Amino acid sequence: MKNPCKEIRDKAADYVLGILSAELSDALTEHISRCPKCRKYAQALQDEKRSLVQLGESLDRDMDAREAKVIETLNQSVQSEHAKPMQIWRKIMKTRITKLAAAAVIIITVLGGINFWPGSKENGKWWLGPPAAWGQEIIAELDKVEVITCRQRAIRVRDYGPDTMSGLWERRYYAKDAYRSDLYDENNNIINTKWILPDDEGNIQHEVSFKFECYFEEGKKYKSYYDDLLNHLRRYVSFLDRASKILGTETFEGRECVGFEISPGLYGNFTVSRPTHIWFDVETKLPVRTERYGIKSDFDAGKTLTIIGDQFDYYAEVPADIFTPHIPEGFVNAHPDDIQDARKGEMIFAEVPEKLRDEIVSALKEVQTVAYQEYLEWTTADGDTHTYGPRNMYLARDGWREDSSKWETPQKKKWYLLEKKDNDAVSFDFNERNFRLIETIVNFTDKTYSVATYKETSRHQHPMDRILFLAGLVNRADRILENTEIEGIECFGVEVSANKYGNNSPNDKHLMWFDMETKLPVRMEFEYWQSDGKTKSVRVRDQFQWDTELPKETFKPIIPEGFELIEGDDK
Amino acid sequence: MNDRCDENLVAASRTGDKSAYALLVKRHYKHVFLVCLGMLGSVHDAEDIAQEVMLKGFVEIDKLRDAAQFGSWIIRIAKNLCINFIHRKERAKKVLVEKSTRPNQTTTQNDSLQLAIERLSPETRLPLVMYYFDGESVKTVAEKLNISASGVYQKLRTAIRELHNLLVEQGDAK
Repeated sequence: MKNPCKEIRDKAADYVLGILSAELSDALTEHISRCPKCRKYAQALQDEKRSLVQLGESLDRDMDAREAKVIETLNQSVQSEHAKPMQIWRKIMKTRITKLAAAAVIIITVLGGINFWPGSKENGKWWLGPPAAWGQEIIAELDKVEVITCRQRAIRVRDYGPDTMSGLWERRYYAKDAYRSDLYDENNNIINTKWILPDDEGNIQHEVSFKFECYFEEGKKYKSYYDDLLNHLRRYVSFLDRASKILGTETFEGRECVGFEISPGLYGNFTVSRPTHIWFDVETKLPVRTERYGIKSDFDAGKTLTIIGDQFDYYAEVPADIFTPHIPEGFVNAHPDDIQDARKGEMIFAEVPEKLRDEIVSALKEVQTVAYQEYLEWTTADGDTHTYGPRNMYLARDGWREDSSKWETPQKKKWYLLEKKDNDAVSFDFNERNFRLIETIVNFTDKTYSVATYKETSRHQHPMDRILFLAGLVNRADRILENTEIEGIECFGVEVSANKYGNNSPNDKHLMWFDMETKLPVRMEFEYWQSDGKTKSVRVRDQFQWDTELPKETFKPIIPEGFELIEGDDK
Repeated sequence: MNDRCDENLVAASRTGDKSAYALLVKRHYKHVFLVCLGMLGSVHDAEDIAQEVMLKGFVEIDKLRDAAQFGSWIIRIAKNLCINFIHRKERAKKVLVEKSTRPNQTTTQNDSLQLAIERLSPETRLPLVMYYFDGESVKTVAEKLNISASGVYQKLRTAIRELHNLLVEQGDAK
């Protein structure tokens, strides 16, 4: 590239740094508008700055993994200049023969009143003592348990917008050789019951679906192993001397608990970061809560799951027949998936290139801002077409804005600002998580405005979260559309029937086109029929400007003078 | 316990409590890593040295006089280890034939940007890394590097231009 004009070089750098005065900025803009060399130079600097910011973010993303590696190395090899009791313990415990002797030494030491382990006598805070010692105690207690029950729930952790607690939850029962789980919906209606029971050939799974009124049995597949809670708990406890951090104490279900974080590297070959938190009752020392983070959802690209296990009951008195499968009268012998498929109609799957979904999803996850428009096209049985909208959308990570208009007259402006507390610290009970969504609506028709703060965040989905979900459906496409050019961009497209998720009609469908180069959406259509079966509606999202620079003011609510404040929605 | 201050964590670490020291790692690692990156330029080298720094911090924690000063103490260790590393590398260079730093054709955009950052002069690189990667304000960078704010701007300005020239040289800038 030829050199830019000399006087421009410093100015362009200052402009990128954001320290150029308004006057000089104008002069620069004016100059580059007529000097291609300088324009190219200024553009290159701007692009490089963006790459720097992105590189910074990508370095940041790997920071946890780097930290975890340091902590792992710390735990494995380093000894400080002091002799470390934990290290001594591990060394001693390495040989089975010395285990008893070591235990005897510790007992003698404790009885003798020598403070062998610093902190162990600190106001009854047993968890500050060596995990190897109290861990053995807990494992011995777990070994005595006959039946344990717990509740399991899932939190959907979203890339965009607030996290939400799934309405579905499970009650699980574990005995030494039998397992049962009851799945409930948000209104506590039972959806299905599953048993895994030993048989001559191995374990057999029995399942009754109350939703589809059917039952089935499946053997062999589950021959040797099922998700045994007691085993998991034993394993977590045995890793505690290598826990990456103590989470402190919290109150759960009215009990004071102490928590530990266990890094994924310690109990499996996971390449991704999936830490587990385990909380112990300070009084009984038994585990009362587990939190498993970062579990990927195959279905929804925009979220990972945090699985919470709680309400542990170690001395559960359960009815004698709890592990005996019971099939309600009239239920048919079939797999629920088959019944669901039969109800939904035939599903067609196109051959979508294997990595395409990943490419689209990761491109979308990199996005920081986007502006696009949404509108509705409505075709009646007579063939008349009407357009409603458009609604101009401006999205950033921590908020979004919707400007809607009708016949080119502004109707409403809505601002949503999301305050999401850093969840990296202690994971509190879901309801105590600090989310706040501040909604400001300005209504130009009746000259009013309202402001509302939502703590229950499930009502408003971040629009980007929806886009991620829809784009993530590509691998369930019915067919691949012909490549085409939209808004001057070479695109590939897919068609996905809406019955591929939820209980939607196979007649409704999504048509989506993506930029060949960047893999980002260029146009998204949702075609659906009104209940009269004659009127077709198409919801269109287009004119996407990905990672466009949105001035800070975009997300700052502006109330026109003279507008009257009215009550916001329920909070 | 999450709210424990550095002082308490240092005290616990002195008794050999690795989980307490792990909390200190979580608190200070990023900053240590970015200082190493700023001084060394290479992500790979910065990872190695930052790890060495954090481990050394644990081994030598008894030598820290004022427990509340853990943050600045660990950064001092980082700077010293980086200087040692640079000297070691320079000595090695004298023996070995210096490898060309020109990238090959298969490098990605991030790789070439990282390479260009690696090739920046150290005095402009550290402010750039602190400003862009550690999210620090010009004022904070100035305080930490003990130079004036206008000095920081001058270094950032130079870094931006130098970086562009290096990318052009590598054939990566348009």
